[in-house]
Amino acid sequence: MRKTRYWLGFVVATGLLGAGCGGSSSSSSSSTSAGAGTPHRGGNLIFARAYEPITFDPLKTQGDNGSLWDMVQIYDQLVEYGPRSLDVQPGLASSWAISPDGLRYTFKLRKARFSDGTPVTAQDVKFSIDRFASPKTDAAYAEFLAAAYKSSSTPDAETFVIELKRPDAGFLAALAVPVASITPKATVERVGDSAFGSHPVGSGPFVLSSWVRGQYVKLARNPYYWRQGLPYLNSVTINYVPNDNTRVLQATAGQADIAEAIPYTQVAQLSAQPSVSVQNAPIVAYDAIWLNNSYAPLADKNVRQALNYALDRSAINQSVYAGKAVINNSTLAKTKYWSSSVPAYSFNVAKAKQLIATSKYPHGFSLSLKVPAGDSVYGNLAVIAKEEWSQIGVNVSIQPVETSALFTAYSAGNYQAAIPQPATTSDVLVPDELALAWLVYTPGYQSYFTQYKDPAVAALVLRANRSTSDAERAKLWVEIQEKSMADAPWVPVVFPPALTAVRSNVANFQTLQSGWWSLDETWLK
Amino acid sequence: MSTGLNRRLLQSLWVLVGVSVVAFALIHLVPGDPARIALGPRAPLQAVAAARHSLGLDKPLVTQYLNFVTGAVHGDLGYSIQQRASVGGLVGPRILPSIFLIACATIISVVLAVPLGIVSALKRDRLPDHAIRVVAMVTFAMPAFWLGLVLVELLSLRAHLLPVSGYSGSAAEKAKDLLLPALTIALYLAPMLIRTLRSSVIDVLDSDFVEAARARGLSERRVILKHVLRNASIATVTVLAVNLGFLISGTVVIEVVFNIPGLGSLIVSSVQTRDFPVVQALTLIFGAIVIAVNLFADVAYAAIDPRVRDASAR
Repeated sequence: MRKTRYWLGFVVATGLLGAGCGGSSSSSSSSTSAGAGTPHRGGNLIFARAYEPITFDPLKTQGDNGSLWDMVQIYDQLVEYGPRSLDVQPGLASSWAISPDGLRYTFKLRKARFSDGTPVTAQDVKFSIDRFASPKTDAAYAEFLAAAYKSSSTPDAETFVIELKRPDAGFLAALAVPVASITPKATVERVGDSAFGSHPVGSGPFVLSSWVRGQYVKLARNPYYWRQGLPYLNSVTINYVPNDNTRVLQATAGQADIAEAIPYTQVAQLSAQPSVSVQNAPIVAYDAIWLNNSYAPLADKNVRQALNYALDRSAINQSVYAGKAVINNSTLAKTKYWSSSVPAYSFNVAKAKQLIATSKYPHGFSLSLKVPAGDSVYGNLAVIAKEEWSQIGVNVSIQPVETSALFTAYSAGNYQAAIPQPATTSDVLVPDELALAWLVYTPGYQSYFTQYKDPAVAALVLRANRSTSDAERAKLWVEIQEKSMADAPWVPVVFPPALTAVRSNVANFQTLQSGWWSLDETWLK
Repeated sequence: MSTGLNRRLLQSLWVLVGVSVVAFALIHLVPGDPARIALGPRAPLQAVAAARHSLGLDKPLVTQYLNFVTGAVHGDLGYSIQQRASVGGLVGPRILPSIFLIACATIISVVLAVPLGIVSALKRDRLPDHAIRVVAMVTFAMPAFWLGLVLVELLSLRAHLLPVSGYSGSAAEKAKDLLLPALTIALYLAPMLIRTLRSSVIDVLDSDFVEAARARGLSERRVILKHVLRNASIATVTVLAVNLGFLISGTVVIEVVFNIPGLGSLIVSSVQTRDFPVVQALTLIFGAIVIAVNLFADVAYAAIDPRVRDASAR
């Protein structure tokens, strides 16, 4: 789970897999990214980003996308995510095998070099993965992504083996996150963590050539990159442009070739420019109104279902998300195994009124809704919810709270209903990470701070997570989606997309469903 | 003069202490735990507690304040929680862009205001005067961020004369980058100068010594430039100095809109992330700049007007 700015990471987009699942509802333009024509080598790509990096040390981030998504361009992982897929593909590991009991992962490593010319060895891989999985390095990541990790070994120079304490079907996907990047052991130990964070060495397509905090990051081609002939670009300049309007203007004027995080309100205007298109990419992000199930009225399932039925998601998608989002039909993000067969809550005021009438609060109740102060998307969403829920007697008072105080209040259970952070996202493209925090009650995450507890759903999640059969997992995750949706633990709203402005001189730029982009195959016309 | 200056310096010091207390109090009274923000929402409670301890956030506020002041006096502005870098190192490279921006804005304002103010006064209540005052009123009343966007639309997107935003390249390219933001600020500042200058010029034009100068047969140009303008400029310098304080706060918005890596955009991002060491340091720096500018204005009056010089010497 990651929030746009502070969480580890990620948003996965599910959409492309949705060719058959209706995920591609609105792609305003993907022709520019189609990689038509012969790739041209050279040039400097200018990328306007909304977030800046804090560090280039994979294990010292705040889980912020400013750091993580820049880092992906510099490092490789054992496995990685690719365009249009929710499965991992080979990275530094050219192949792998998982033992039938799901406890032993054997990776064959390819011949690759770091950007300083030294070879990537099994020792480097062991060092990096041990560091990633150790609770001592950063308990926050290890707890989420590598809780099942036991030990690792290097039987020979090209082989790396991981042993797990218990089967964890989400583990392989977790090795593709930027936090699990492979770093050179000798360099990290010699220069120390903090120097490494500003002078990173990786085996990815680019190297960090300069970095001025608050201004820009410059990347140059890594001459030792193992993918022959890649990257096409000579260099990439990533400018930090936090103001939404300014990013849009830079893309309009051609001062930036690519601009991320285009506000919904500006998509239409920007798409109308002849030389700019706005890519609408599905990612594993999740927008919901979260409910504190320990607040008396919300402890009643009838009430929570009524709130779900009384919200007009299509109208919200049109007016708040410019029609660019996908209606949310799950208690988890649109990761692998997500199913379109589970219906979203329809807009049905009559049904909602009937549910309220049968609840312990037939005459309604008052509900405070905390939203991030100054966030126009969630502000508007809250206003619509207030209006629509008033029809079933729920009197909503909207409380804008400063972003930095909001999540603190949320995680302390100090709320009735809340939208605690911008676009919560999964770090991985499988449902395990979010499900273990949101659908299985633990003292640490209290079902992601809603106090939602359903032993049947939790048992299914644990079974799916420990299953070694993909077919069984596929079946279980759909069952989990159905059962948890029936519980209505909170109010899913939409799956928000990633909106990125791309100028017509850019070819083959793709936002991965994890939210980040790999720029190694991008080229300039 | 030196006694007067000493007294003003002493007053300034107290103001600076006041500013530091307010800056410190504000950032510590608002909700939001800097340690939690620095570590991210996933960090375990023990890690947050350890971070609070290492940042000194678990000490009494008075102790924290004294540590901050002691450090600042020794030139140590602290360590940014968010950026994990020394505050001095973060702030240093951002001073020049801000000063450059304010200087450009001031120059453009003065270049616009002096001729327009004089014309307005000389053609008082006639068409040029009305036109100047109406236009000035309009640009003054527009919110800076909106005015900035209008200028970008006209001068960058349509006319392709200037870049839409940014600050990079050689000094000349940087100056070009700063033209639009500086003009945006100037269109707010110049109207005040024009109005002050206009009324001062009108006052001075009516005075006896101007009559006398004319009676001595001096050319009208010489009368205006040498006698009228010099006397009328005192009030204008005062207005300029007072407004430089506002100008510095105005650059906060402008720097964000035009993506200029100055002190203003840094304070905005630092406030949002509760990066209190940076906010404290910047507030102190902004306070010091405003105080210094006002001191400078006092000195400038003395240079322009001997009566002020004499008065402050007494």
